[in-house]
Amino acid sequence: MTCACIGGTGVICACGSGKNALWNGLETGRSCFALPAGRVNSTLADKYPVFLIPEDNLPPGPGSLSLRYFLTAAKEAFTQAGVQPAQLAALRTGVCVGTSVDASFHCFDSYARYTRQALQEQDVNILQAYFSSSTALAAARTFGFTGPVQTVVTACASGTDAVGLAAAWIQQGLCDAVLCGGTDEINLIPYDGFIRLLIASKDKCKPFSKNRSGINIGEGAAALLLLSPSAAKSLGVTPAGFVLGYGNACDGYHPTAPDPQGRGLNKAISFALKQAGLQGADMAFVNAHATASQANDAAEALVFNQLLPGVPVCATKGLTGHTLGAAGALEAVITLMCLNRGLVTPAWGFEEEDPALHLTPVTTTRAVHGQAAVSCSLAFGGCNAALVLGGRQYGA
Amino acid sequence: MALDLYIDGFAFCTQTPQPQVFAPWFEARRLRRMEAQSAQMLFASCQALEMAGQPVAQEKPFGLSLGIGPGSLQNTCKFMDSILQDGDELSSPTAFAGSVHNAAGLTLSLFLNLCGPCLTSGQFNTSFGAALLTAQSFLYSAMAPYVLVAVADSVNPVACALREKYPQVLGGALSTGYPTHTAAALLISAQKTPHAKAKITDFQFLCRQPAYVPCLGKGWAPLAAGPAIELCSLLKQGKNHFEIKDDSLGVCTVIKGELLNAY
Repeated sequence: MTCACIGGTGVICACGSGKNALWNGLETGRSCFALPAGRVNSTLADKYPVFLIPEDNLPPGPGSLSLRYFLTAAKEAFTQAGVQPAQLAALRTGVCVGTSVDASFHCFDSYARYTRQALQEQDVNILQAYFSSSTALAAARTFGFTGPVQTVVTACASGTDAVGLAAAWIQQGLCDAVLCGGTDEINLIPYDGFIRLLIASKDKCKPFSKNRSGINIGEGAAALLLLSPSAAKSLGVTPAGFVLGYGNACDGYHPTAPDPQGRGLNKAISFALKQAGLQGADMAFVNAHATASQANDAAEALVFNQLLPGVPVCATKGLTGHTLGAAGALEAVITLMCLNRGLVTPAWGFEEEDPALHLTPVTTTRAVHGQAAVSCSLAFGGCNAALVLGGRQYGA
Repeated sequence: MALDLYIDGFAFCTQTPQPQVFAPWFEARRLRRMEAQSAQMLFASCQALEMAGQPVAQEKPFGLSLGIGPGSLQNTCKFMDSILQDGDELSSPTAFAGSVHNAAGLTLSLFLNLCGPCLTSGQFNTSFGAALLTAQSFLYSAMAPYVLVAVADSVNPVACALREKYPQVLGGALSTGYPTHTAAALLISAQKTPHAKAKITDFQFLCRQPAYVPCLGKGWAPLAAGPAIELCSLLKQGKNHFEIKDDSLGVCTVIKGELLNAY
């Protein structure tokens, strides 16, 4: 069952701005892994590099960095689709964006002044920007879209959920088009927070490796322009791919750790496959969440071995970092790029097979066969989400 | 509307519930570390489930759709406090984990034994409309037979402090008569059951360009639960027809419906 056509996609991340830069990074391993000096004023003695968007790639303009990242990615998606925002504004076009940092009250300097009873007039503006800057609303205003708007905040599954919900809006007939995706930026709060949770690594992350030692946070955005089949036809857009299925299920297990049995993830992937009318064996590959935390990779490996035995597993956070609310959308775009090239790229950072996992990810760029793949995300709070995506040749 | 929506149970909560009110469902000690926002959502949700004849203790494949304006401010501020007071080296990982928007989703899924889909939306005043839209999507996709829609608010301490200092700019926001620390919950189904209390006959949730006015008037305060409480209040009043219209932040939320059963 076709849920929604993907008219175009766009990205910005530590590999650079745009899909060409991202693909180049996926093939060569080139990315920006550095200390966030100047951006994050942490006094932690130990320094943890992160996957940063280089200074000369930071998009200018008003609004939060997260918003600017998303707008940059959206413009690339429009360009690929060959449509102008004004054309979409004339349709029932919604906006659905996942984020984590951008929706949280991280106005640290204002808060520090508040605790010292030294609030200043500038804090009014900061607060106003925060209260009026729901990522999806701001994007809808920027492009003049008047459909439903939703900012999804299911932590690290936000991007996957945003794409899945957007596809559901198309499927329900609520929208002709939806600009969807995810975005997040690095600041002091997630930087300190993940380090203090003892799940961050000082080294580049090693997804699915025996010696994996934790995550590297990252930043960036990905945007997908979804269209109903009739809207794609009327706009003259040749689909770059399809959202075929979406599943979501909660663990109800732990605030920061996945269910070791992966029950929620199993349900989410199973539902997405069912909605797509496909079997695990039909999948060309699975793009794993693969944060390189002990618990995440173990839960994922268990579920993949149950539901997708023998299906190649790719993992990209060794190149992009864990971009939090953007991760699911970024990985959806990567999944689509791989499907349309018939290739999967190496799991950068993977070193040594973990015998407990019974899973070895793809280690070199290699050909894959098939026009559908799974991309999945797990999140704090026990949220799990999965997409089944089809490449441009799907169903041809 | 893509499908019919029915409200089987509803409740709201305008004060932080004391541990003893949870006695019908949970031991008090299970709640001792729970932050106020989650406790409010949990209390409203227990009552909504009970009204719908759904046992709290039994595992249910129900979906969960949460709307939370700024997330857990209590934990976010606690994390920032720990940095300011104790330094980055001793900042609280527990507060950081609790500051994540969908931390409340875990609380509700754990305590209410919900094992279906779960999604949290965060866009201040328009969070309830977004949460209801998600519920509709879950039901349409047959991901769950019921979806519990739960919304909650916290009061931002910086906003309150600024309101004191700059009343000419911020005065209207917290004096609109809305309660502040609040929560509401509604159990929604796409099927009419014997427990159905009301039917939603029209639901719209659309961005209205260029209605948004970027000022700190009524629209800035975190009133995610406001429209949900208004809806619950109308249902409680027992009026045959109800209508909610909210134009906050340039997003038009319209919910119309009719009462089905007296209760």
